[in-house]
Amino acid sequence: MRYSKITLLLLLTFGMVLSVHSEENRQHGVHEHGGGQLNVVVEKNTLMMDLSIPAMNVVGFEHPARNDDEQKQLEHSSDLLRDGSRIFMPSPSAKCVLEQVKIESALLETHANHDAEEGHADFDVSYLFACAEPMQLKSLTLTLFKMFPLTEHLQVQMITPAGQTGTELESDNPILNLQ
Amino acid sequence: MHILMLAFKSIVNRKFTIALTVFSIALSIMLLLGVERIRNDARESFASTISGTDLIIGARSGPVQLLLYSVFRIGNPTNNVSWKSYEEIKDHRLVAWTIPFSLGDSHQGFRVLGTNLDYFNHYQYGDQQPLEFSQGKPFSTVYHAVVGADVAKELGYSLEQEIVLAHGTGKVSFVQHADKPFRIVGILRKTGTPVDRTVHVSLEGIEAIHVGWKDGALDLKQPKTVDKTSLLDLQPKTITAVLVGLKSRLAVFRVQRYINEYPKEPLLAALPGVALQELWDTMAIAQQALLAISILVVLVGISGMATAILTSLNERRREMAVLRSVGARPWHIFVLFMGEAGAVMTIASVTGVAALYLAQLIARPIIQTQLGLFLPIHPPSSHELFLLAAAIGTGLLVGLIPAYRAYRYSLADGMTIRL
Repeated sequence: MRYSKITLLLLLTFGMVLSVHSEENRQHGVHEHGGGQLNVVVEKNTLMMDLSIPAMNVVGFEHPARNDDEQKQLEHSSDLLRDGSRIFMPSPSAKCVLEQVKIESALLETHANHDAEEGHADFDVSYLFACAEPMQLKSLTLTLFKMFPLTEHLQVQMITPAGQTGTELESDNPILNLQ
Repeated sequence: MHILMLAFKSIVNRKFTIALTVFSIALSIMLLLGVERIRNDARESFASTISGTDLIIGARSGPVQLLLYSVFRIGNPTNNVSWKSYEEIKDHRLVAWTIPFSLGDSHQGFRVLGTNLDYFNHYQYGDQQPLEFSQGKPFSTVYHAVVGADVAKELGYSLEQEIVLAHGTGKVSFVQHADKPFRIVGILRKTGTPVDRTVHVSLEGIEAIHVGWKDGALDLKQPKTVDKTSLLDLQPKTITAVLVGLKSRLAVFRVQRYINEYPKEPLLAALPGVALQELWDTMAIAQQALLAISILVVLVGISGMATAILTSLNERRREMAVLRSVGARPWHIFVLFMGEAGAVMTIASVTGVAALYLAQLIARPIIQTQLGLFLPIHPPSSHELFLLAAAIGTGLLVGLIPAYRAYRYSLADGMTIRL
């Protein structure tokens, strides 16, 4: 009786583990080389941006660094990405200061067993600016296209005090109108 | 002054040809302004339907499709959202409020929307205007219904009236649930959005409509009565979409990502404003094509006018000679012809604008019924006036051709004509 209870418990546990494994995640986000996503929010005196671009656009490869050259390239590129006030130039009169940057990428993880979906990797970077004169925040100029020429276009979603809207930025149209 | 008088009399003399010319240009101007008006007003109407909502969540499809079926009741959902997912979204720490939508049924051609009381508290349209009751109050039990302003007006409904809600969305429903009457407890104030054409009931009410239905047909062996249904467990299993308001706008993209990567169910979170922009970008090409066509139609009308004046030139050489004989100079003849072109364009513009307003008056209720688009009647905008001025200017420019020829003729002919 006692054993059978334990067996049952084991079976249940084992069964649950099995079922967890069978619920493998088969959803995949889009990944387009040359493209990318930019989300922009302006709220009170905060200007927040989430940038998500394929590693291909940034470093030119999407696998973990295999040699010193690639490692250097990776470090150099992520330093460039971290430098938010060079990539994004808000209207100068708004007096925005970069306060926080967070960068995430499978390529930057030290563990080898990262989750590079189908061999693709992205850079997800979020930037937080504090603006002294948010009323003067009229536009956002991106030098991203110049710094990473493999990036051709960005799909933009933005939320400003005027409401939500969407647009697309390209290398020959790198200025986002925030009004 | 008197030269204009002469131009007018000359026009009256050829009233039939001129009237046809005016008619064709008036039609072309009506078309041009109509296309512009629909372009601008439709966009505004769409944009003012939803306000203050940070995210719309539904089954994974496309943002535009989600927006169209959930907010504008255009098209059909690809899938439903399970109640469990809804509850998890509702309880997310960044979510301030949610409005569940359950669509798919109709009443006399009007959509029935299953929702909860948060709808009346949080739904906003236009410039962040909340919904208001013109009579009554929100529903409080399963068999209560709140109708939009147009529903009440067109079907002649008043408070406390009992109505029957049918399963399905057709105007004619084969089987109506006469045994489950709903009572109207509230009538909403007019909003100029699809809300006016919606019958609102509780989510439990939607479930109640479907109790007793099995495999898409009414189970006649087990007729359910009103009382029994009220007591049954009417917790919905699925809903169509959710409108979400967040505690901070800074959280919108984080919650959007959370929903779009939701592992248990393929869901989509879209920003209504972004989806609307996407819809408009898609339609921009078609709209520009329409605008180009209507501009061409105006040009065709204007060249028709030039043709009509040019053809009349030969037969009017005597008229010119008579005018010259009473002292008119060649430039008088020139002004006369320009005056004619100007008069034709002006009369055609006024007629065209009048015809546009008439057409709008007739088409407005039909567009509102068929598409749920509210197109306001307003005085011509500055943009429309610019288009009108451009059309008249082009007309005058083209009018230079016959005027110049008449000028040349009158110089060459003098008072003697050799035809």
